[in-house]
Order: sequence, then C-alpha cells, then structure tokens
Amino acid sequence: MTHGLLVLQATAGTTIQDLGRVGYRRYGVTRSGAMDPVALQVANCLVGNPFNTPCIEFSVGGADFRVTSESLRCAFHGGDFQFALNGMPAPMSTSLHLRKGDILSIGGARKRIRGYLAVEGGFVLEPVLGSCATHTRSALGGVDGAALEGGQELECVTKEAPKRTELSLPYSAFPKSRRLFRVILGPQADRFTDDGISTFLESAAFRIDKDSDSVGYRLTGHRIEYIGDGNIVSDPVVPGCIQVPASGHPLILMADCPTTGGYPKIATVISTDLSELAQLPPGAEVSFRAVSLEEAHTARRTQQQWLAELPKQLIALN
Amino acid sequence: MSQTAQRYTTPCYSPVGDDAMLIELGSGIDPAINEAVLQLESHIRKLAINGVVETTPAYASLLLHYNPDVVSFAALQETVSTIQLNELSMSRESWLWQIPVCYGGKHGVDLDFVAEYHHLTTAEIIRLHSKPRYRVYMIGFAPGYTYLGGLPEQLHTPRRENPRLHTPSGSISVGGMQALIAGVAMPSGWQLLGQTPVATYAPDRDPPFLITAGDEVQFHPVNTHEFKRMTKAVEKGDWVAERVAMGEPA
Repeated sequence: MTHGLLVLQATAGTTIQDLGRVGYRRYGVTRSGAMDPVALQVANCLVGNPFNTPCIEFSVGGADFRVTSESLRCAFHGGDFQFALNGMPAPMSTSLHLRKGDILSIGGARKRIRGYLAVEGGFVLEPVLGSCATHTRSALGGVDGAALEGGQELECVTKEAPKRTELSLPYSAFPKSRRLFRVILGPQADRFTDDGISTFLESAAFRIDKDSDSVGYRLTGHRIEYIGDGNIVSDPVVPGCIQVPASGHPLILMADCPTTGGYPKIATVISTDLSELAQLPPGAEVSFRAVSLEEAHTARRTQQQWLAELPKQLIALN
Repeated sequence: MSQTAQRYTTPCYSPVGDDAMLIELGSGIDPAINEAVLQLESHIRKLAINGVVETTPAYASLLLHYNPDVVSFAALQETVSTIQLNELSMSRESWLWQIPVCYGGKHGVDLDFVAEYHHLTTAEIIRLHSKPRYRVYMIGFAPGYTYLGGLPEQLHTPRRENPRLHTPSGSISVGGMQALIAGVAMPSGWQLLGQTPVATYAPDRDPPFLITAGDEVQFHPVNTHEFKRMTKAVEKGDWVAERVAMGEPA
C-alpha cells in the first residue's frame, strides 16, 4: 500500500517535472523538465529539498489531492492559481504541514499559468534516462510517461513529516515579471531581411497565440520577412530558439521542443528569461531586445546568485 | 530545402542563446560533411572539455551545450578551432542494421498513394525502398527518430499537406528526399510506407538506443505474420534487427 498523495482529479497537463534530462539529445531526447525552472526550485527550497527534486507541475488547470500518509509537508509556488486546504484558502509560497485525510485543491490560473507543488523528501519515482521529467509526447518519465490522472496515488519518500517552523517566501523577494524578453540574435539571423529583423526587435508587441503549449509559443501580430524559401537543413535547437516558418509568424520553442528543427532561427531567448516567458498565457503580449553574450551571462549569474541566496530570503512563521 | 551541399573552408561558430555554440561545417545534405560533423563530435567528447555538458550533431552542424560559468564562448571557440578537422580519424564503431519492415495495409497507409504518385506498383516501391544501404545522418526531433539519406530518386515524394496527428512508433516513411524510422508515436506529415517491429528506442532496454548517426540501414520486407511474431519478441527485449559490423566507413 502506498502512502502519500492521492490524485482525486487533475486537469490535462498536470505532470511530474524536475530540471530536465541531460545527455540524450544526440538520440533525439529533449531536455523537457519544468516550464518555469525557477518556480520549481523555489517550491523545493520551501520544503528543504534539493532544488532538482521532482515536483508536480500545473499548467493553467488545477487538481485536487488527498493526503494518505500520516503527515507530509508541502509548498505550492508559481502562477496565480487558487490554492485551498480543506476548502479554506491556504497560503502559497509557504510550507504547510498536512495530516492524513487533508484535501489540497488547486484551482485554475489566469495571467500566470505555471505552478509547482513540492513535497518534503519528494515522491518515489523511477528516473528514466537520468530524470523524472515527464515528456508526454514521447511517453517518457514521470508516472508511465503520462500526465497525472484521478485515482493515481503518488508515494512520498517521507511517510511522516516532523513538526518544525514553517517557511515562507515574502512577495518582495519574488522575481520581477517581464514582457520584454532578452534575446541573442542568430544563429540564422542572416536568413532575414533588415526589415524582418527590425520588425522582430522594434515591434511594440507580439501576441502569444492560443495555439501554444509546452513545445512552443506561437506569436501573432507581425510577420517577419525572410530570405529564401523559409527552410533550412535540420539543425539542432534548444528551448528559447525563435523559429520563423514560412508563415512569417515566429514560434518560440519551449521546454518540450524537439532536438532539431528545419526552420531558420532569428534569435534565441536567453535562458534567464525563459521562466518568466513560460508563465505567460495565450493572449499576453511580448516584445524582444537584443543583448550581447556578456549581458546574458551577467543576467544568468544574477539569477543563480538569487537562487543560491534563496534559503536566506525565506522568513520563518510562528 | 537546398539540395546542393557545400563544405565551408573554415567552420562557422555562432551562439544559440547563452549556453550553446553552433559549429557549422557546411550546408546541405552530404555524407562527407556529415562524417566530418560526427568525427568532430566524437573527438570533442573524447577531449571531455571542461564545461561542455552535451553535444547534438545534425546533418552539417554540431551544437555544443556548455555551462558559461565554467567556460566562456570565446575560450570554447578557441579550443575547438585548434582541432585539425582533416587529421581526425574515425575511431567510433559503425554498424549496418538490417531492419524488417511490414509494408502497406494498416502498417503503411500511404504505400498506395506513393505508388500512384510515381506511376509504379506497390511491389516496385517496396523493391526500390528495400534495395539501398541508407546512411544514418542524424538521430533527432524525438527519441530514436532515425533520419536516412540515400533514398532512390524514384521515391522522392512531397510531405502531406495536412500532417497526421498520430503516426505509430516504428513508422517507416519518406518525406522529400529523406527516409525515416520513427522511434515513438508522433504527429507527422511524412508518407507512411510501412512499419518495423524494431524499437530504435526502448527506455527499459540496455542500450535504450540501437542506431547512431554514421551507421547504415537496409530494409527487408516481412509479412504481417512475421511482424506480429517479431513485435512479441521485441516486447520480451529482443532487438529483432540484425547488426553487421561495417568497419571503416567508405
């Protein structure tokens, strides 16, 4: 008999994620992992887990759970989800001590759409190719390579969570949200006209299309003018790559994207900004600014420093 | 897609975001350029350059995924540019894979269309498709997706205008001038000629991946009865595919 968290119901797209799979791209296996890796790490930090511990990721939709172990400690962080314990609003970005029979309810998000539920000690899961991240398109990782469903029971490593002071991340410490995303131009910027590049960088806003998911965000609003037939011989791609297919409407590749692609890439969103981009829902407006590698690396170091100092940012409750 | 391949006199290095470096050795689809990419990848993996976390080879380019906290783009480019490409020897093992395919019917729903498109019989399509030794240029897109070059010109067929939302794992298909073995079920716009019971990717098998870039593949037709028998064998962990040592590639 398993003891942990029973899934009462889960919206499609509720999956187990960690920081992703490394080392198998040469066999066509993408990184996948959390859409917002920063939020996943915050959730883990709140319950004292190593930052790469698998969590439950919510995308737009929510889920209900019942605690089936004696007790457990959990934290929910990310997005603007409704979060309730036994029917009463519960604090987000805060560790909570739960007892057997407690019901956790996560309700849909609207303007920030990725949330993470971490449990202290993590879940009992078998890594596939070095990671527990679920890539549903190739039926890889998580629980049987699929999204979570009502009736499944997730076993927790820790069967009983000892009482201790609970921790919370104050709102003032939250990373700032952004609409202007930093990119590094290329590697096929030469496949676009000067007009195409300035449309991309100077347009006030592109809109994230409703036809967007964890593989890619389609952008509408402006067409980007390219040179040639709009195809290249397939070359490697990473999350953040901005492909421009023949339609001229850019597609930003996200965490679950393929390992290779056949469309020219005008630019790549810097790794630091992907977390914030992943929070935005269809309908949101985004724009782009080209930066140097140096600026991107400085931003990356700042974010890493913020994560390293995260435990110190948490405030003790009671 | 340009069909004329061109080898660059010197590799072209460009950043892909802030943690990857694209090294382009040429353009187009060409066995010599692809071989150079794989030799470079193999050499870089052996060097175990500090900060390089992963490599993704493709047709004519190689992506190095690096940790910028450990190695800078400039330092990495300097290290890689000292490698003498024309002095690299091929030291990796290469294999010829004999892959059974059940052509047509529910296993290859586009076989009739492809035959009609080329004014050939389905038997002629099968004979043409199972004749050559294909070069594996790239494993990419999705797990175990094996991209093959060397498709006879009589079989070059445009992709479907409306991609299918579901094509089964093991699908054997053609798209333009390329041939493909699908490692997992995926949406696809390629023309489906048949299906192999061979799993190019099986997470619980050791090794999970059979075929690598630089190998060669040859198909042979099997009937539905054999397909069923082999599918059961694959479920028990058999490879079903025959593997022949190639030695030094031509």
